Amino acid sequence: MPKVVIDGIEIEVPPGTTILNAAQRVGVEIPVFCYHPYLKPAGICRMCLVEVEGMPRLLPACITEVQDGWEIYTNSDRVKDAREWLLEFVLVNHPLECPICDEAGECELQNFVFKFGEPRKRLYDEPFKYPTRYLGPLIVHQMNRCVLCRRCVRFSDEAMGGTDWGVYERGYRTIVGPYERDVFAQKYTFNMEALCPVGAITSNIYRYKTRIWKLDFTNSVCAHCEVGCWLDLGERDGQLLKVLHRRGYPSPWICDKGGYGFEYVNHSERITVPLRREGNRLRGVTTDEALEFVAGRLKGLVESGGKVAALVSPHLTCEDYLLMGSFMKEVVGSDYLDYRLYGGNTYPERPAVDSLEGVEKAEAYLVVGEDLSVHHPVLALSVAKGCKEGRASLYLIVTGDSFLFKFAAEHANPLPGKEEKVLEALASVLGGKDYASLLEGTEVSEDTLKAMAQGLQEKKPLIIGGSRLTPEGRVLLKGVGERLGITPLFLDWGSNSKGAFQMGFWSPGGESVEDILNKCVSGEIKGLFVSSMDLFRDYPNGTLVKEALSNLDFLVVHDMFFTETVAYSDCYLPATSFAEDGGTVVNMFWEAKKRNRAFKPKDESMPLWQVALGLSRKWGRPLGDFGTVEDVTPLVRERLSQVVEAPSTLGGVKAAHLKGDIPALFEYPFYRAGMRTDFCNAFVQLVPEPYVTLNPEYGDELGFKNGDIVIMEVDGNQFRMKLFFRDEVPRGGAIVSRGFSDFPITRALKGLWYRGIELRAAKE
Amino acid sequence: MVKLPDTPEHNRVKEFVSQFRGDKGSLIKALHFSQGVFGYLPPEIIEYIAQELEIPASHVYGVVSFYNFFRTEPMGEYEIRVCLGTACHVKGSKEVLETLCRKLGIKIGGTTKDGKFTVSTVRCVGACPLAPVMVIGKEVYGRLSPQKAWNIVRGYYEEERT
Amino acid sequence: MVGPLLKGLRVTFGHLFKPAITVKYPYEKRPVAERYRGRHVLKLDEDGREKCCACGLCEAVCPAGAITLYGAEDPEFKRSDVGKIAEVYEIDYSRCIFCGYCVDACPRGAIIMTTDYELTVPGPGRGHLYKDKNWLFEKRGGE
Repeated sequence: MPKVVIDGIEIEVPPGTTILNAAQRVGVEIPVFCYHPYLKPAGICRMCLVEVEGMPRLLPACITEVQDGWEIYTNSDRVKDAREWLLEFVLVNHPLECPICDEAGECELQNFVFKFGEPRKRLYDEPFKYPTRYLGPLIVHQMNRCVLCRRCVRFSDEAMGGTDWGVYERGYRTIVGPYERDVFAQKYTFNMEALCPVGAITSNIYRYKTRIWKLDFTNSVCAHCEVGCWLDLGERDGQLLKVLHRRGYPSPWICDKGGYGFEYVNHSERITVPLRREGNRLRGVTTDEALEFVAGRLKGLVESGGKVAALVSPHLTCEDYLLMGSFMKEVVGSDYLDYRLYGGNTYPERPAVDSLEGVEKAEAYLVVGEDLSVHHPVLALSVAKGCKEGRASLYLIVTGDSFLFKFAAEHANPLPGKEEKVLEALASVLGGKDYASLLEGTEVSEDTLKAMAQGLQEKKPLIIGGSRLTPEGRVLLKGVGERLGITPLFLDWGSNSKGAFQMGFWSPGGESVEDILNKCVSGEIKGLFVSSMDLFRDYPNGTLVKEALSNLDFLVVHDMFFTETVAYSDCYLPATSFAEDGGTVVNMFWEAKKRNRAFKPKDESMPLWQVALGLSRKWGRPLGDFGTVEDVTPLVRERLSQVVEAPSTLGGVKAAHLKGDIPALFEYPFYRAGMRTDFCNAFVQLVPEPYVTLNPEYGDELGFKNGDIVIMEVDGNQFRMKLFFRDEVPRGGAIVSRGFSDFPITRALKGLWYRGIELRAAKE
Repeated sequence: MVKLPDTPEHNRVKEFVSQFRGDKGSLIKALHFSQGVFGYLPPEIIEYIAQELEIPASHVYGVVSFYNFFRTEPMGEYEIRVCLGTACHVKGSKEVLETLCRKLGIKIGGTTKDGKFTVSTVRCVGACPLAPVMVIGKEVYGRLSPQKAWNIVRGYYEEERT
Repeated sequence: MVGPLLKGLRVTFGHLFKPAITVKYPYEKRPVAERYRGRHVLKLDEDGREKCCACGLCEAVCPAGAITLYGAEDPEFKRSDVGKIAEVYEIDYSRCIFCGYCVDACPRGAIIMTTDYELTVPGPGRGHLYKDKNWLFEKRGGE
């Protein structure tokens, strides 16, 4: 163990420790630009130079490993001079536009010049002037301000495996940026903005709105997916203006949905007063009136023998599910509850790993049935990190994976709807059975599968079952897991489906969303309560939803916006966003995390638990005396400590597609997945309308060109959309984007995410 | 997916680059060969090499722009590199450069209309005793004056005529 | 008895023949000191563009918390020479203590204080004392 003295403090550190890390241990500050704890040290910026006794030159602290007996000075005159000179050189070309720069206040250059710099400039030369580049709605790149630390480039190389972001030219003429793109939005762009120590990459959403020191930051948990990244919500005057990821949990990185997908909170179209239907119009009423009306109508329906059901989004908090569940079960006396509004008939299960570090440590991965980078983006980064430098091998059985395929050792890219066939074949290979017949029509070769089976048997893999899997698919995957001795990690839609399940909002054996909607059509269910979800956007059977909603006697919608579902409603109750109310959420590893309230609900908006409480009071059987969400939390904690038993199989729809057509997978584009992303202006700008993607070769065969306008036909419904070529789409299949509330693409679906479609060129 | 057209030059590049599929270390080799074929590196070649070696096109372009000898624009038949190092500068290489530019009617980095010459500058060629120095193709010419330099360049035209 | 009364009246009558100390406000106004700190004004530059770049220093330094400021982008540089303008600039005169810190803090000399002290507003309530950006501008309403 080398012993070193840093500024007079003696410390013993493990061999291989850098000077910087040793200094951090004893609490000595060394300024850095290019060093970042989660990136590999690069030694580019020279800001961290320190003096070592007996060394002729100053040494960069971030890449120099300490040796026994070194005496290190971080504050000697030579070091101070070096820092001053370096900062002076950086400032030669750095424009002094702190008053307009968004980074001011959290800018590392600003802080260092204050602390270590000299307030003088000796060279008055015209600095370089590069144009400001607006790289799409997410980031703005101002090369003028760059200090060439290359953190962004290193992030894109190290974490994302290389993107269209690089360093060009050399010496003092070096520039950084994209090579061929005008719009830079690649799922993890937020991290590049967050990593930039100066204002060279700034957010376009937050651009010039206010100053960082005016924001109040509150700890919260992201509401887009069940990875549950910790966020710091920056609020000012009841508006959510900026999101940071300061605490680096569960991963140091987050995705763009977490970092930029908050605009819906301050959206101008948000309706914050209750509405009640009067003839063809919805009229504003007070909350009291609205709750009275809803409770009265529901009571009337129940007393006349009708049934009432509740469909609630899987993005809410446990408190919401607990009180809404109690209201439905105890007060209304109904068991028709479900949260699985994305479709599917599966339920959450306990995984074998308990953290993202556990995921990163695996020796091999098998991912089936989900484009991880779309629905669990941070998990995809962890898998990618595990696969880096050939440490672990990745096996994918995913149709059209858009991020992980470049890390994959073997990528089975089956035609849409055939993922589970390939999985079945894999199970047969592992079981030593005949599998060739299973692979027919899947576009997956036997060699791929053989190599995959061999790889899985050699190393102990982590099995990840995506949210697209049907119950049968899950059983198959569990079978594969048993053979290899591993419990798979099953992923679910929504950010808190584990919590909803644990709160008993839906119990195995209960009615699924499809059953409930069918019962609405048959007239058994007369009243329906829908919360925080546009059924037309997300439930994969728009025709059924339409039939069910128009057949209802009474529909209450609790939401933030006027969606198509609200158009069918008899009463609208305004909902809060994730920033306006606290609560408990359960992440994909079954850890309960606390979400805090950043600011008070806008106008009359109420979280679901308050709605349930208010309704129960109006009904005459109050659920309890809860003032704030903290009063409900103890009950939630109690429920979370119980283990819910679940059956091993559930019934479901078999994946199938019509013959002779192009099998298509209906999948969310990244910027449209997650909660209320169609009310985030930046995301709407990025993906304004749905499109079809084809494999380039297959597209050529069909006689289309990249960028053509085509007509997609499903069951006589015609949709006009753009066609793009993407390499990751399997040959012979198509991927159609969905998740557009103003575009009725879900009408084409019949309960599953696969359909046969026909494509033809649109006549001009 | 980048598809190169079916010309002899492109086919030579394809044949050469396909040897190194997925091998990131061969980037310089591939670029060097392609520049030898085309005289410069057009964007589709950069993208093709990126695709074949499985690295982002931004990295390939980063390497191309880093090295002075990789070009992204077409070059003349002969490249005149005038040294602007300290010794040459003192000995008046700037006048040499200006004279050549004026007489050839181009700017620094430009190519003459007949595609014969490209004038560029270089920091030092390591021939300081011969200052001022210029390099045409692989020939080094020292102890220049503006007139002498122009005579040499004119010599290339005459050589062709004879 | 009469003596003190006359003594007092002498002072009174004496003042009748001296020039008046009071002025006929508002018809007449007293001169104020050159550096008197009165109403704020947001300056414009020679091209008529706003000088304020919404850096927020005045807002940060204001001890009374009277200034509210939100920025916005001006990508075409029509309203500002640096591309950033104040979208909202409000001074709450019911809070302002006329300390002049905002003027000191401003890096671009965009806010100054005039000698105008007439800030009375009509009616009850303090809403009228909340002054927005248009009111604060140099060339407002015919002035």
